[in-house]
Amino acid sequence: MTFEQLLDMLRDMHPDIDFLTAEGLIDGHILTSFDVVSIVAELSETYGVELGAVDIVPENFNSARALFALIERIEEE
Amino acid sequence: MKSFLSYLNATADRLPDKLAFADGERGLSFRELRQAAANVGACLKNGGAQGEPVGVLMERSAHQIAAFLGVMEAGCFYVPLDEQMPRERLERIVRTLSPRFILTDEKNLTAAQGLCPAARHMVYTQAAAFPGPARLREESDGDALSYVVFTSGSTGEPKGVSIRERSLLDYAATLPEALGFDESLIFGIQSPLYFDAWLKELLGVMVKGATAYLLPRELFVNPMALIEYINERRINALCWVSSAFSLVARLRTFYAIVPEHLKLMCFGSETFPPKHLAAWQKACPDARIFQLYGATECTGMSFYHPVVGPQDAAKPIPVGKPFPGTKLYLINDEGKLDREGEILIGGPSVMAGYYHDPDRTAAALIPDPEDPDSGAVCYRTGDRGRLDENGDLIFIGRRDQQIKHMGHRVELGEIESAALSLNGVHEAVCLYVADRQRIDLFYTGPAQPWDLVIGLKQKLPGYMTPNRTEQRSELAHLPNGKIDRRAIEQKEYGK
Repeated sequence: MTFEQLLDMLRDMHPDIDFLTAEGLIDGHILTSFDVVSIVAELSETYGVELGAVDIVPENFNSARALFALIERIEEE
Repeated sequence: MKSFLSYLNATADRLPDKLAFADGERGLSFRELRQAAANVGACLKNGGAQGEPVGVLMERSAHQIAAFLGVMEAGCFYVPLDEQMPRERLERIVRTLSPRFILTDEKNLTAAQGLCPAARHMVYTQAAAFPGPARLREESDGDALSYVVFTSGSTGEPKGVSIRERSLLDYAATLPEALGFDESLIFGIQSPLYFDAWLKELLGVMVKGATAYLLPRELFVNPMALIEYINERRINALCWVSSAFSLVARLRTFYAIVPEHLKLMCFGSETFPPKHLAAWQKACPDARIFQLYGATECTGMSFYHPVVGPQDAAKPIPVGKPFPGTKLYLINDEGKLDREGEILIGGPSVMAGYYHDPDRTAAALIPDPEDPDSGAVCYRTGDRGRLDENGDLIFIGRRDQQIKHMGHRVELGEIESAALSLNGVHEAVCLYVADRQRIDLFYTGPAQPWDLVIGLKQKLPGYMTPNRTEQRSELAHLPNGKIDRRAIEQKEYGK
């Protein structure tokens, strides 16, 4: 999965957010727990990226870059 | 008759030092909860409050619950105003109520003053320090209102569901018994306090002497931390909306950690996907599980059904049988009593009406079909149901454009009205994608999607703002000129 694919996926869910620059998505209550569920489902269903329970912490969802770093770690394993 | 608060007197006499409610940092024992409520009540009475609405604009906390009970102690009714509600919604509520008194905390004082400059603002910490009596009032006439909570209305004007004390007393006498609540239970409250869903936990605490923790909202984006929090506090009873249970299961939390002490699980308000329910059953084999069903207009929940063992995914789980004293009627399209039709609920739980709104009250409350001359009324839920072979109620769906989203009742029409009130929006239609739990908004007009996203955030609560906003050059119409929702659905989703 590329960073551009991730950005497209996120923009499709929230066209109002500039994911290239936005930070503190969870801490700032911009994304809700239901958005997190949608992201986890979409990553699994469309890209075969399986996040585990230990990965679902606010730090990994606060920015698109943090999420992409997590995805890269998972894909390397 | 006896008062609702008399339950707290009895429990505080029996278990004075036991923890009643706690939030992240602070907790109140039963003795402290009773004294805080008594003091707030005395302070309000001393200020001249009497049989009138008192707005409560406070941070979600154990003290907010003491404030609600203090309003009842003063013989008034509480109206929760939430700091997270958008400004415009708060203003509409305040306009409907014109409250003379607002209870608030230091954090929300400026906001409360700006919202309602004419009211007298009492800061909770000062009200709770007022010298009140040692016990709460024992008597009630039953007909006075206990609270008013506002729900979504299709025209955009929120409806103030007004609940009498005798409805609350009926709830206190039925729900804890039906679900087997006892003093060993430790609840984890998921729901916000500005609706009625948390009354279940309130009854467990006040009537049976259980303990309840207010779960911090942030934990629901961190499911492992959520379950750790639950385990550390030995929380053993969860009454959550189905989507909150589903969320934990979908995030694969149980591969890493399971709730260790769970004895009781209640879900309702939405369908619980069978595979997520099965995940909870496997993770918590000792928990008794209930599905509940009811309406805010009927003081919360009115029906319950024990969920035992594996469920057949092809068959809906019944919402079951009514609590004692609650009446159920099903009215078919010809207006006759039947085994399938619109669900009507009757009995002492039915609301007094929508606050200062006789037209919408008259549309919602109709004479008891079996006893039309008695003066007794039933609430038209707008839900469709049928009775199965065991006489259990099965929920089929909504009659109109109302949906359940993230546990909240949402009128899609209210979102459409809000969109249409923005500049540059000609037509708007809102559709719900149930399998993805997503609200989509399609519109015509020169406004950009970004304008709508910003505009709607100021008018609607977060759970009502669309997840997707898309501009279209035109929207399909029916021959009568109305928007053709089905054709738009077909075009957008190909179904």
